[in-house]
Amino acid sequence: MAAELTKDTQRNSAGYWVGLLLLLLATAFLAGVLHHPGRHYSRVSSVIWQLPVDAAWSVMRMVSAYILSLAFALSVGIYAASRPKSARFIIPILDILQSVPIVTFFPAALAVAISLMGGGGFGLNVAAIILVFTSQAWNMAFSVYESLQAIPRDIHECAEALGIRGSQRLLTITIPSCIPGLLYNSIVSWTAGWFALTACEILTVGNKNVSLPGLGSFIANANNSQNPFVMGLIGVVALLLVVVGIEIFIWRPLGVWAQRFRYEMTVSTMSRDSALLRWYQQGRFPRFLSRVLVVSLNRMANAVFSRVRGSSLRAILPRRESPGRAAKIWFTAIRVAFWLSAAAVTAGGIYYGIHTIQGHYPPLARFIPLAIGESFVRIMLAYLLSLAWTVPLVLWAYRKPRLLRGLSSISQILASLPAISLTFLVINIFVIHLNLGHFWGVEIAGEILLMNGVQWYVLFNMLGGLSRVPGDLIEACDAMGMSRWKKFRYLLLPVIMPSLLTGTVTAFGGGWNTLIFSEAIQYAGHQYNVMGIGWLLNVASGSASPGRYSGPLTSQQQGALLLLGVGALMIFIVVVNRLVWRRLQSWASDRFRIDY
Amino acid sequence: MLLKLDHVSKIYQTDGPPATVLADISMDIKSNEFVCVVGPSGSGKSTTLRLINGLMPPSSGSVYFKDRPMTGINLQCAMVFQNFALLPWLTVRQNIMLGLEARNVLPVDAKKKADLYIDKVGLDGFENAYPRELSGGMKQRVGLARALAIEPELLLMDEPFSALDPLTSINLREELLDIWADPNLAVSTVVMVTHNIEEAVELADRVVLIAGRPGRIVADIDIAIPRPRNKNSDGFTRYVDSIFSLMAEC
Repeated sequence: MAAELTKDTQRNSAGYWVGLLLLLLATAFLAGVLHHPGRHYSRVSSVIWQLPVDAAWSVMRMVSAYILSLAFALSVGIYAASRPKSARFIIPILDILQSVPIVTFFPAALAVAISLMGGGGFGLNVAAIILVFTSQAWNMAFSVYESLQAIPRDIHECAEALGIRGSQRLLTITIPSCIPGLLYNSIVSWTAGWFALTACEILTVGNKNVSLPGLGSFIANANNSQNPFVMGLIGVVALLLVVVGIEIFIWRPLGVWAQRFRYEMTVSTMSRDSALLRWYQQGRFPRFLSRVLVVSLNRMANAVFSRVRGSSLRAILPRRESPGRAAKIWFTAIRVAFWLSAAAVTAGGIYYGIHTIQGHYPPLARFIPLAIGESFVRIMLAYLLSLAWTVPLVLWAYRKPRLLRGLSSISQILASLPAISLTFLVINIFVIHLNLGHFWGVEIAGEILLMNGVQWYVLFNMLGGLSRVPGDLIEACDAMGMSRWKKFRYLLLPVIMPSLLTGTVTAFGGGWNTLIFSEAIQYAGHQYNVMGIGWLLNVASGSASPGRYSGPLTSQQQGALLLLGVGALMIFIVVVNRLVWRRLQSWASDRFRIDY
Repeated sequence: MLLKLDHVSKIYQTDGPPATVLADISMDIKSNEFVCVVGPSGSGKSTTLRLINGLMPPSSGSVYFKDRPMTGINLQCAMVFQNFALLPWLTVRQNIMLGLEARNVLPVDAKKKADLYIDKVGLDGFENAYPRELSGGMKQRVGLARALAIEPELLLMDEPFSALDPLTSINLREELLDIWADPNLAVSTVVMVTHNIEEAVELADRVVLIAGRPGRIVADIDIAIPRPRNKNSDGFTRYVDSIFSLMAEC
């Protein structure tokens, strides 16, 4: 009897406030360590023939971070789903983590990583991988949890009655059930991952530049190279090639394959086909490759299991009601790890938090409320502008499935383009060519970058919602002769409303992340700054100048500013989420549910 | 006595006040018996079946299997579900092998046994098909084969024919009786839940009527008609009518 809880986990507020507190303490901890940066490793390239190598480095970091995220998502998701009591804490914490702009933590987190592992190439790579992980893992863990909650009751009972337990249950029921949701969220996570990757391949820590060879650092360096426009263009094209390649060769075929793992038994959901998938499954080379892999894995497994005697093997595959010994050990390990890190973060957070702010209160901190306000207005504007073009588009395209799929791919790909990779374009157009002046030019350029971080999430989620509009309801509306607008008003809008709100939360998250780049643009040796929390955090990490607002900051003041800025931003975001978006979401999912 | 329910009650703890679903049920099931449990919706028929399988513990009273009190799931039972409960990503054969693999049967033997029961339920040629590609009747054949393959001492069926069209369910009922009567097959005792009184009278040695809220045993009727049974005979309609009027009284 595992799937009895569904509704009240979302409304549990204690978990939220504990989660928020832990995060604030973590911030304090990170900010405190900021003024102990270690040595720095740096290898910068803006040379075109280095590009394939750079791309390979970036992909390596992405793949490593993704594997980590997958392991985390499955462990934590399965843990939460099998322990309703723990879920009441884990789920709100995951929810906060997926809605705060993780990128704002990066300067501090990188500094910690460097001071722990040294500033060598290895340490920096590990740090970058962990940072990308932090931008990928949470929504995936969420989706595992939700997929497991959605397993039909009779499947659970059938598994119990047949005595399917332990690893057999994991492999035949638990993991397959997660696949469709996990795949969708993996695509979203890769999008966020590219964004984060460019942010952690080049960072200013303290007053020094740290950079790793990769596509992100190539693009960032291109902005300050001899020929920023050409180099920037080359960098974007290279990134696009990689992203499109992954979309075509991995996500598309996987998407078709994953349809097998849906519980709805209708044939129509199986209609999509992929020639590439067929080749992967039947082609000579892929089969050769998989045979080699399977045979060698089998040999390895046999070598291990032949040493384990039958009785102990049975202990791993238990039959009793309670989870098996392996699962128990694993769960205990997770619990211990969680409480240990919570304790460490609490202690460190309190100590460093007091230590950081005491005596180093930065005068710039009084601008924090104004900065958050201005930034919020910018994001809101970008969001409204996004709605203004995506809603009519969707309204026009909703009955053209191929077009919708195309749009969905395009929005995924373009969402992967981090703001920094488009800098060369917007600065050239609005500041250099149109010469709109410092204020309007930079504001408009920044707003365009911001829109790129917002609009694709809106579109992507709306398209997802649109695919769930029941065909018979469309037919019924057509049969009644409803106009396009009426159909939108009474059918499409209500059906996509829950997805649209999810998209809104994600889009705002994307917006806060983008601000770090769009409010403090560096291009061809110039800084284009506007007042906002993104700029303020750049000042705090030493990568933007405080301009006319303040004199130069000491490194202690930077740490204190970072702590105060990130802390205020997190509180703001969590409060807005709890008071506005979550309420709207639960209202919409109640009101516009399609079941009758 | 294969199975004994001794003063069993079931109370569900929900958000509101606790809901009593079954009150003081006592029932004996002998080996080789075919028992149908009938009753209106919400009377606790399915709950009874889940208590027998050990999927949920009784709130009071006890369940004895072969005179031993049951704790936890009874792996000598197998269950057939109303909506089939097949895993969509496994083929017909893989679905049937699930229960065997859970019992540590070697893959080679599990495959042999699966193919034997695929043959028994008439699914030859569909071993490698996915559930999605099958009709409702064929899906339920897979569900039946999966239950039979573990060669249970007690076969439990939860409204197995109610999601099928009438013609398919007539055929499948006949095949079920053949399988039950086949001396070469291990399964000999069946407890089936249904809301279809005719179906119960057609199949069962005994019909147990559960009705009321909370559900109680209202009647326990031996069906003394030799097989094969003619639905149009006087005896048949008399049984159906009397059970129907008993149910209507509650």
